[in-house]
Amino acid sequence: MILTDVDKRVRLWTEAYEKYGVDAFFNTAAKEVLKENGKIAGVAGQRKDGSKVTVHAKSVIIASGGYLGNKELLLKYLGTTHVNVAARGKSLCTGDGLAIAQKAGTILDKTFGYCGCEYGGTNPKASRPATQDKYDQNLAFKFGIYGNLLVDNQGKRFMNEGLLCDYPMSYGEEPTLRHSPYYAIVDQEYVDKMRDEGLYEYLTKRGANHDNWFIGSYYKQRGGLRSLDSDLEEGIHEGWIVKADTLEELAKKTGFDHLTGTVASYNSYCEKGEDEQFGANPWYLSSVKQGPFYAIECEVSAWSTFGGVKTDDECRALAEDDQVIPGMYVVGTDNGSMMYSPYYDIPGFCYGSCIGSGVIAGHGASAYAKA
Amino acid sequence: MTSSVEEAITEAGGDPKTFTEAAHVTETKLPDADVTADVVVIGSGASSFMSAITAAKAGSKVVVLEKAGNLAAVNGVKVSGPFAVNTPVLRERGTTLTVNEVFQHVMNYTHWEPKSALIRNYLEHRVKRLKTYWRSVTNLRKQTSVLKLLSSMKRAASI
Repeated sequence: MILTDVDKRVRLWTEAYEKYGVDAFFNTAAKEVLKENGKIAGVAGQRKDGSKVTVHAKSVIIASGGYLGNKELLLKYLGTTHVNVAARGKSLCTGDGLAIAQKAGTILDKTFGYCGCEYGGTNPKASRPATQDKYDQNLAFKFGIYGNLLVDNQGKRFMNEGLLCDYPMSYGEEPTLRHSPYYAIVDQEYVDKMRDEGLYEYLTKRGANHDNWFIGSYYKQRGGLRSLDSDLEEGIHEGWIVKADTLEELAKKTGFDHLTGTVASYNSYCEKGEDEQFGANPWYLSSVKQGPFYAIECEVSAWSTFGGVKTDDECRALAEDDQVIPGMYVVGTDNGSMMYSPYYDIPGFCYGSCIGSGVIAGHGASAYAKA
Repeated sequence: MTSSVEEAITEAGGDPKTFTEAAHVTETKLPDADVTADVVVIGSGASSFMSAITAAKAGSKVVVLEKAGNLAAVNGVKVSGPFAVNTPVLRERGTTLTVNEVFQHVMNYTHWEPKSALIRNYLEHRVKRLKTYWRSVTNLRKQTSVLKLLSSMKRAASI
């Protein structure tokens, strides 16, 4: 969701750098924190073309944005490599800041997580994966977040799907991360309703309203997912959606041994209007009965990772035994002491804390350099 | 272009690699740079930008190193509005959400797992001089929507 035009912000930032005499070197990766006589002395960087950029400075602020672009670190800290870049493409954030800081003697704090994408699932096999725009993607990915039945790769249910729809980041992101890729199981009746009515009309008919369904305003203006039929076909063609006439066939095609049993139990909850397993809000319970059936493979995507260097309350990097490393600051998503997993339940908290920590470190680093 | 040059060199009996490799190097490599500053910032996203501008405003010479080719590539210019309390723009719009309310909510939610004094410091940090920045973020989270979300979270937790 881009609410502030990128060009406008780029212009504003560029003008601010010019106004305050900040020199920016682009295509330049930081390689190492320099030290002289045990004190922080600057950063050694390298341009894409191999040329060197050496900056001598008393204060260093590490703000490289986490490790979303580093599969090895994703596996190490989040337990899976199936985390996509919500803004599409490859992330340049490959954990450089963490590596540099550790090499310079810092320790990492213990919390690792991610700022997940709230617009649906995604899949690297898709030609139109999740993007920053809510609906500029294959709309079949909406089944990865609409509150319908979800299963893991054994065909077992793994979460209260209603909470995922209601609070995609704070409640939804840890279970979906743990099971990424996870699978939405829907029938033709539900597909038809989502195509023709859309989630808002479907759920308001079932009792959701402006007061009791916070996320509803999100879906209100949208209407049905008009391109759903062709989007499903596209997913089947690309290999991330499986379609079958019967549930038994779907179980066979996917290899999900527990699928038919899971669906039978789930359908009984739908009939009773009570989710006896995970307590999902009854208006989300949508039976899976009317073939053909679909299994939609969804992976999570992220705006950023969380987890990194341990700092004090002034964003100063800490070595073992909480010893402050004078002149070294860590901010934004590289700061491991400020973020939480699952993500905060206040929208914009990550961005807010990035800005806030930047201000804190900016003051501190400036004062230290001039002292 | 390069391939037609390669063909011409091959036709003339030369080794095209000596030309293309040399051309590649001379075309792109910049001279090494060695500069001195007070503060060097690694990255140029949201937190880096704020670090750099804050330090520069405080009178420091600041250098930023950014891996991307330009500012349009960084996360900080793409993400939507930041959450904040007590900014000039919010006050102008008449909102009254307090640092205390937000701090207590966040610490209850996290069971005091993140560094509390750092969270408090971020929420309290004075951003008076950054009016321009806050104005650039047109969809700064409105108090009403946040309060509504927080009360709905409490409901969800009590179910």
